[in-house]
Order: sequence, then C-alpha cells, then structure tokens
Amino acid sequence: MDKVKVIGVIVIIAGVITAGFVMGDFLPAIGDINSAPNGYLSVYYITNALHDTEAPNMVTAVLADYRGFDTLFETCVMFLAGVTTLMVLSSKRKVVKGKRNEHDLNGVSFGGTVLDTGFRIIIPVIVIYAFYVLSHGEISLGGGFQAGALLAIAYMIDRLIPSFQNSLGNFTEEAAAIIAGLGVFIYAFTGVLPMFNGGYFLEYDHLPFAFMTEEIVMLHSVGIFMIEAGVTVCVMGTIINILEVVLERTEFDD
Amino acid sequence: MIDVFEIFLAEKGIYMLTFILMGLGIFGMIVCGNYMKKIICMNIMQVAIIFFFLTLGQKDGGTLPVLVHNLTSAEEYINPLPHALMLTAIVVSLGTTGVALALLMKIKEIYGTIEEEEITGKRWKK
Repeated sequence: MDKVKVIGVIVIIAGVITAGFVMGDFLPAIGDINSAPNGYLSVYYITNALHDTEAPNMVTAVLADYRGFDTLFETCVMFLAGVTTLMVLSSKRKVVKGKRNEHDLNGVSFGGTVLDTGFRIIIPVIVIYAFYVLSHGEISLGGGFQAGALLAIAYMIDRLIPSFQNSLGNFTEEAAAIIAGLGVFIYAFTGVLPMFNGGYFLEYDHLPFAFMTEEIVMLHSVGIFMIEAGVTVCVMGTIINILEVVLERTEFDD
Repeated sequence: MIDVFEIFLAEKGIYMLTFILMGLGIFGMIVCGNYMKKIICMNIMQVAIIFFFLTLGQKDGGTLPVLVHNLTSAEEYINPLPHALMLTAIVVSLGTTGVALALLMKIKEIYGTIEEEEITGKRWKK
C-alpha cells in the first residue's frame, strides 16, 4: 500500500494547490457578464452572427462559418481515428478459433424478445430524428456531429439485434472508412467550390448557387448545410468503422 | 464566515468540482493497473476539461445561444465560443477512445492480458 499512500499525499497536495488557485483571482466568477471569456470576440459573435452568416444558432455559426477551417481538420481527425483503428487491427488474428463472421452473432440474443422488438420500432424514429437534427443544425439546436452520432446509433442497434430480417445490411469496415472519407471530401469540396467562382477557400459568399437565392447572405445557409452534411457522413462512417473493427474481433464466449 | 463560504461556493464552487473530477481522472490513470480502467479514467478527465470550459461560458440570466427575436444584446445569451470548442472536443474524445480500444485489443492479442503488472512482469510492492 506504500505507493497508494504516496499518490494519495500527492493528490492532497494537488488539491490544496488547486484550492488556492481557485480562491485566488485567476479565474472569473461563474456567471460574471463582464469576465474576460465573455467579452471581446464573444460579443462580436453574438451580435453579428445572424447578420454575417444567416444562422440563428451561434454555435453553428462559429463552428461552421467563422471557424470552418478548424472544423474541417476536426473532421479529418475523426477520419484519421477511424483509419488508424482499421490499420491497427487490420492484421489477421494469430489465434483463430474457427471461422467467425456476422452469422455467429445470430445465436446471441441482445436483450430478449421485448427489448429486441422495442429497438426495432425505435430505429426508424432515430433515423428521422437524425435528419431533423441535421437540417435544423443552423436554425435551432443540433448539427452535423450529433446527427452523425444518431445515425451511427441507429446502425449500432440494428447491428446488435441478431436475427433482424429487414436489417440495414452490414458495412464492412473498409466500406465504413470509405464513407468517412467521403464525408471529409464533401466538406473539402464545399470549401473548394467558391474558388471556382472567384472566392477564397470556404468563402460561402462565392458559392456558385447564387441563382437559387435572392440574397447573397443566404448562400451561407447553403454552405453551412453542405459542410454539416459532410460532417454527418464522416462521423457516421467513423463510428461504424470503429464498431465493425472491434466487433469483428470480439469473441462471444458466454 | 459562512457568508464568505457561500459566496465562494456560488462564484467558484464549480471550479472545485471540475478540478476534483480532473484529479480523479489523473489519479485513476496513474493508479489503475488495468488498461481498460485507464481508458475510462482518461474519459473522465476529458469530461472534466469539457465542464471547465463550459463553466467559463456561463452568464447570469443568459439563455441558449440561439437567437430569439426580442433579445438582441450580447448579455442575454451565454457565450457560444466554449460550446463550439467543446463540441469538437467531444467528437475528438470519441476518436481517441476508438484508437485506444483498438490498441487495447492488439495488446490483448499479443500479451493475452490487459493487466499492466502482468505485461511488464513487475509487481508493485504492497
């Protein structure tokens, strides 16, 4: 128990230092309107988001419009995480206990008849809700990441129910990685499109869809929706990718 | 004295909680010998960081950062910037968890165990 005691002492010292740090004047009081994080840039975003980007949801405006370039590479990080998972586990298993594929799941019951049937009913609702969240991402709460996670959850539930006749079908992990890459491509392509029309990278004002809208600022809505769709596809692909890679190697012993 | 304590709790109390959560995560990452538990503790630490950033964006009397017609001034809305940052942080934490799980499965295949002391062959003195 010696090591635990030493670590406990370290934790207590860290706690005391933390308490001193918190009691000092380094951190702003919670809810302070005039604190440093709530001033400067934040005020600009809140007051000008609608005028600049036509998106009432300021989080989406910051994420997809003001900071669109950052979000592009956040999406790339997701894609790379999926590809890395695939690469780490791509080699064949050393110990092969018989041949394993999707059909081996058929003998495993997920949660009994009631839960299985309940989840089958829930799946289409989840998918509809995912598209709702995606399309409302700039108007109200929602966005691409959440929609992607919801779609992946729908697929995940479908995958976990073993003897589901009308299944959505199984992605292989390579296909899921390709889908994730497609999402990144949609995002990057939305960024490149304005460059054909005399704009900069991700400058939505110069998207070549001006004939569809009356005001130029409405093009921001189109651009935000396109990159949100890209993010959705990428997140969905990555989660499915990780799920499939892990499931392929899972042994159901019990 | 009690008043001072109450004011402290109201103004800085949540910082204490997030720091405690952060400390728990780091403590678990150091102490736990099981790699799966280490990953769980890493997730707890990430959640603590996310909470910390979100408390920074809080404003008294502020509403959600979605525009409402009759509210125009910046004081009416909470700060959208930490929310935008943490949204991506949540997604990235998902990615790191996925990669960590993949590495964990590889370790399990090669060593046959995910206990640290069995892998390194050394035991902690107890």
